[in-house]
Amino acid sequence: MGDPTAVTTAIVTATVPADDGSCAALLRWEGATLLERLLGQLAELGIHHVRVLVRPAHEAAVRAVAGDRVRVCAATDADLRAIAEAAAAPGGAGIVILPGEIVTHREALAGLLKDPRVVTGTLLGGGRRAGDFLFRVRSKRGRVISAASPYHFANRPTSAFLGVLKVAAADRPVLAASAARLAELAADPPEEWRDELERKREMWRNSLWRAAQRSEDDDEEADGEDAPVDEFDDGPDEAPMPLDVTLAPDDEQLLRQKLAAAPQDATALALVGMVRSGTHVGVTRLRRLFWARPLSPASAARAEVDIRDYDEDKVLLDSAVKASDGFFTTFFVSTYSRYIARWAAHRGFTPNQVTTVSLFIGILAAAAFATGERWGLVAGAILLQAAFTTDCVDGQLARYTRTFSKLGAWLDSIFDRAKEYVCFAGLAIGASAAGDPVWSLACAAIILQTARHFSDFSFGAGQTRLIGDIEQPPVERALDAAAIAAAERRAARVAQPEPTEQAPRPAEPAQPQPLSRRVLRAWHTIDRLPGVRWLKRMAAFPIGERFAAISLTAALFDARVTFIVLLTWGGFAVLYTLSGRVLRSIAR
Amino acid sequence: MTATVAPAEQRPQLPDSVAVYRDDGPIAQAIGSALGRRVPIPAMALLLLGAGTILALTAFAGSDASLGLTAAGVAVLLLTFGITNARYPKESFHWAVPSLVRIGEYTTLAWLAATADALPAAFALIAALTFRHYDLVYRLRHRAEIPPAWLNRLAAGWDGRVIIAWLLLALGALPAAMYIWAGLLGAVSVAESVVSWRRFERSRATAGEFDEIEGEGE
Repeated sequence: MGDPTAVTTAIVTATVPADDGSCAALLRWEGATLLERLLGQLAELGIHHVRVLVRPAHEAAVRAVAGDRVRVCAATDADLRAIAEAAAAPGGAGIVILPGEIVTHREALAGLLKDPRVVTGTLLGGGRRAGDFLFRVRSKRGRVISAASPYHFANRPTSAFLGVLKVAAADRPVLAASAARLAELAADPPEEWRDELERKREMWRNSLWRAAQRSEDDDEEADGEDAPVDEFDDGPDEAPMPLDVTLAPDDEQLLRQKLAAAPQDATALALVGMVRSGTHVGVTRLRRLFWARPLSPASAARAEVDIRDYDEDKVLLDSAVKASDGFFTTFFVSTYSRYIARWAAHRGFTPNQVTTVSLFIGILAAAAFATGERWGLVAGAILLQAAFTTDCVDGQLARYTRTFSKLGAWLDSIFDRAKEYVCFAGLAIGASAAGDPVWSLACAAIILQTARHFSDFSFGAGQTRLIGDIEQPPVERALDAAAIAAAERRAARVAQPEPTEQAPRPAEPAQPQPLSRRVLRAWHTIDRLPGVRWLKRMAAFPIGERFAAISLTAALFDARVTFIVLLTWGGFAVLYTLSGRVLRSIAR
Repeated sequence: MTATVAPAEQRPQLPDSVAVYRDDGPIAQAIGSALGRRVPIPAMALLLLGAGTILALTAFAGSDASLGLTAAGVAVLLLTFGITNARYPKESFHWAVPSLVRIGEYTTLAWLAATADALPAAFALIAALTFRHYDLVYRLRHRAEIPPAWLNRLAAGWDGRVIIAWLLLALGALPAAMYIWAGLLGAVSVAESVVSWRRFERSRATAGEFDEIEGEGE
């Protein structure tokens, strides 16, 4: 006990019917059922207190598998009431809510349930898993700011909600209150909700139609990162839809099934309830693990085959590499450092031990630099690279073994700074010993780098604050805050109001925008060109590039050249990031 | 964006990060409360003026600057930055404030030391200060805390530090005194940080952010 993010209770919704009318959670899986597989995974994760929500028609069948953990709920509102009751029950740790028919790796669940950094949070996949008819969410800076459900619209979504919602002990009262409110509304959905479901029907019909046109070139997309977000674009979310498309009979059948399943999705509704209550709902990603939610025996059989193609350890190791690292780190260090991380994991090293080793190597590098001799500069360069590799290993080791701690994050950050500045000192001492003092350059370099970091910290803090300040509309509203704001702007622009503007369709006609926004949009657009994102990351002079620049210039030239390069590249990076931030600040 | 903040804010409000990162001492606060509302110059202009003056003096007068000129530079910095203690620029430009304060402070320290040929001592002091300042950030981010009052008093704020550095310069105590200062400040800051981390790890609180936000987590 004592861990405020621990989860010991699960609410499994086994309410969705498969295409043959049976319970989807009871689809066959390796001689047993999907539900048994999931319950086994939950037990392995230390979750023994389980409630399985079922419809009356499937009660007997589910009871055969889940025993007295079954609770019968006639409809979605009853599911939500059951969730509210469980959340309001006294005592206990966190709760996880998830559908009984999902098939995924245990590590995908562990990534959410066992990560102390995620208090209340959810499992997300890539934004373009549209074929799965998932509800989508918009997340920013590791937080869900808007979520969709059968009855709720999320403006400009970035990811797909994979059905798993973790609610920490501290947030249980919020879950109890919001699920109770949702239950009242779901019993008799308000008009705005029904309109939204109707809109989704059209959207799905359309995407099925488009998928059929596109034939079979489905591009697998990673579930690691959000799709690039254009934060100032509140234009139309979906391409305009041709009306009255005709679907193939199979697709028509699929659509009917999805439409029957959608309003049963108590998990998606519970997520909306948490987000709309202003709770900080964090984000865990599926990474490259397997996930499916079969609703037919055929798709369950397909999942059973597909999941065997996954080398889970390789996937975990690959996704231990941070996606947001710079060019040098990604292509010259992480390519091999992940194997050192795996080796360290098997030898039982902790991330903090590795971090400390990295600091010591960094200090050795500085000592070598301080000799001012050629051999010292070369040795320092090599040692500094060794220190940097070790530094990458600690984070990868932490992610690979899921051993995160705040102390570890702090040690990692503070030791990074220490290594860099100790090497500055070493280089300057060495230069003095060699008769070419560069202390003024060393001072300039440390001032520049610290100022750059502080600009990053403050800009980040400001962005996080903005996200926290978003006023979430109540769950009665189908639209999220951004869509409501867009609708209001649209209404204000229509000077002679057309009073019968149909159901709020969050699509906005193109309009002239201020120059700063147009520049920013163009800036985001060129990200799609190959290599541009890497160039941009290099331009910001991240740590990998800095350490590489120090090593190369010190080994080949001398400390003076090192500092001049650091100041020149760093100065360029200041201009580069500064112009971006000023534009954003003006555009806001 | 949304200008209104929900009235009944239940979430615990973190201390304002800009105020924490600035690391103002009592003198800057006094200047801010005395002059902050009276001087009709925008905060951003004052910050740019202060940092720009120091950078220009360092670049052009450099190590040849007289004691009087350094005094004038310190006075300009205290006045311009001090006034902005009470007055912030537009919220969307808040992110620029802490960097400008750091540039102003560190450059002043380096410039003062340079006039006494004591740049290595200035590097040592700046390095010790970077520990304090990074620690302000990480403490707020991971633990939602600010340093104890006694440590802040001891660190004296950027305003106190530039005055002390100038006094040491005037007394002819550079570089020795600056090395000692750097050593003491660094040792106390590191020790306090380690102790408070141990206390925090024992209490296992959940306060504070705990995520690797892209870019700044580097």
